[in-house]
Amino acid sequence: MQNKISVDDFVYMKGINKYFGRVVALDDVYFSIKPCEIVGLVGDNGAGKSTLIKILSGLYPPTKGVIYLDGKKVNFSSPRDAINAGIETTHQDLALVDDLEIHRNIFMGREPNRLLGGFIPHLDKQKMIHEAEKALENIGIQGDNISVEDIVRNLSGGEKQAVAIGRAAYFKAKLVIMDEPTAAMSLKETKKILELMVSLKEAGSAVIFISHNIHHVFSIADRLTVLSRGKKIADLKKSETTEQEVSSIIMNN
Amino acid sequence: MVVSKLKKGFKLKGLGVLIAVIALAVAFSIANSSFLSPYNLLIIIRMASELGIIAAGVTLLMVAGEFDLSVGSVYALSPMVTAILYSKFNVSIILAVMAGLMLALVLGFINGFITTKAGIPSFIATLGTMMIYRAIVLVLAGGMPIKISSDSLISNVIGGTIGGVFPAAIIWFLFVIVISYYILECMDFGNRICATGGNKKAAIAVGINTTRVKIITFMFTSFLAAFAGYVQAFRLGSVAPLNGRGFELAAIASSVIGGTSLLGGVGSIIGTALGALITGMIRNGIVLLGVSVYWQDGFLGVIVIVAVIINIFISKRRR
Repeated sequence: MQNKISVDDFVYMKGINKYFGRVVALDDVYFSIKPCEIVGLVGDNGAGKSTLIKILSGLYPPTKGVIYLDGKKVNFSSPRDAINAGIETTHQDLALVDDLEIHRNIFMGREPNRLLGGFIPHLDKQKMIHEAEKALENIGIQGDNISVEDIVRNLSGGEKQAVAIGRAAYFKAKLVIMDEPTAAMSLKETKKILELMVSLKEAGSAVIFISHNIHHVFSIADRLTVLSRGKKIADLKKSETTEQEVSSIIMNN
Repeated sequence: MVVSKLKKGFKLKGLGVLIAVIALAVAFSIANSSFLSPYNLLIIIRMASELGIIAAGVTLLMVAGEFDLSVGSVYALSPMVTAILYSKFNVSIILAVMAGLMLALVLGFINGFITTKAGIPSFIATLGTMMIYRAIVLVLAGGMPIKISSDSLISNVIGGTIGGVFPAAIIWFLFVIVISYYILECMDFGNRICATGGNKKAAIAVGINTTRVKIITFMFTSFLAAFAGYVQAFRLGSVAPLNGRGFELAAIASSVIGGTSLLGGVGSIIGTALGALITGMIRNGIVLLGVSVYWQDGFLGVIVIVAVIINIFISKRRR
């Protein structure tokens, strides 16, 4: 297993432990990802996938363990810290605010301001709308009858994921964490989302793809990390394994 | 084109309330021609103003996903502290008002702190502080009304009239509406309020400090409630310990009539202003119609229910 830090790792999580009371959610887990790499994080329910990425996205501190970014030790005390370090996370169903317009969602928490009369802060709505259109254009979903002034509630599940991916791409994230992006999606939408994740990689982002669906993960990942009951049980290059092997590792553990 | 822009501007919901305001005005003026006289209109808007100032804050807080039931108590407590400092301790009125407004910010902070740090619903947290703050008013006042300066500059500015006719309250109401609208629609903080109330987890995931957003909004709400209390206190020249009872629910009613969701994330300041106006129109119109004042709240209750039904109907059609 790749438990040693490598010079070109973007993220290296070393010996991560997480306890919730007496429940051990993660037990000495090592995880790494390189720039422009897609790593599939797979495992059954309760394997610890979500806990691991919540630690990486600044939502929880680890009970024990260290995170290195570009070889430097970091301490995330809030999601803001992780975002500032270039880590964008798209949580399952929790990425967007349904009642806000697309452009307000894209700039949520990072709203551009201009000064009215030199001293009154004012949302730069024109910039928000214009840049949001560019963000959607970049990922190729502009024009499909979607206006950035629509509220998110009216979008399909696939369109919502696309907006979240567009947001990560717009802010030039170094790492995009996608939690179950293809859950409950139609075949067509799944195909589109997988393509968008590959285009994120091509644009220079590393991607962590968490899913129950080995088939989806296998189709685009460079490497697969398998968790089971809080432990890492396998870390395989896609070129050196098969879908069947990964499935049987998960099933038999 | 113009219509579509209008619709967008009011987000449809605001338009619904505007129609209700016009319909009520027409109905009341048919029943009694003096309803639309300039003098009576001023009375209605003044009545709407004090409630509207409170409701603007309550709306922001509801959009952030929280309630404040203590606004009626803060409405009494801050002016009461000012009145006591002024009448019994000879503190200058301007300092006494400053102290009262500072106190309001502290009271709002307490509401926000209990809600976010103890993680209990704000409905319960502020139900508790509503009772506590009211008890403090009663203890301080000993149950009696207390005189507050009525001829100083500040009392005229806050609670006086312009030219003996036009109540300053109306100007303050408009001012608060403009400020609140600006915060919600034109500031990054407003976007964060919407995000916090609309989907707290998504807001946290993009790095918004939702605890901070909520506490600041609680403080702003308390500040406005106290300010509305001063508008009334300076108009009357005294503060009674039971001032503002029931205002918490009237403020929520105004917000809801104006299209603000009880679930957070959605709200309209202009809708709330019109909702407060409807409340004033009903209170006034019922008197003009010669109907027993005991019916006032009953009428309002009907309006609240009808408004929510219409709002839900409209928002379903928008999808």
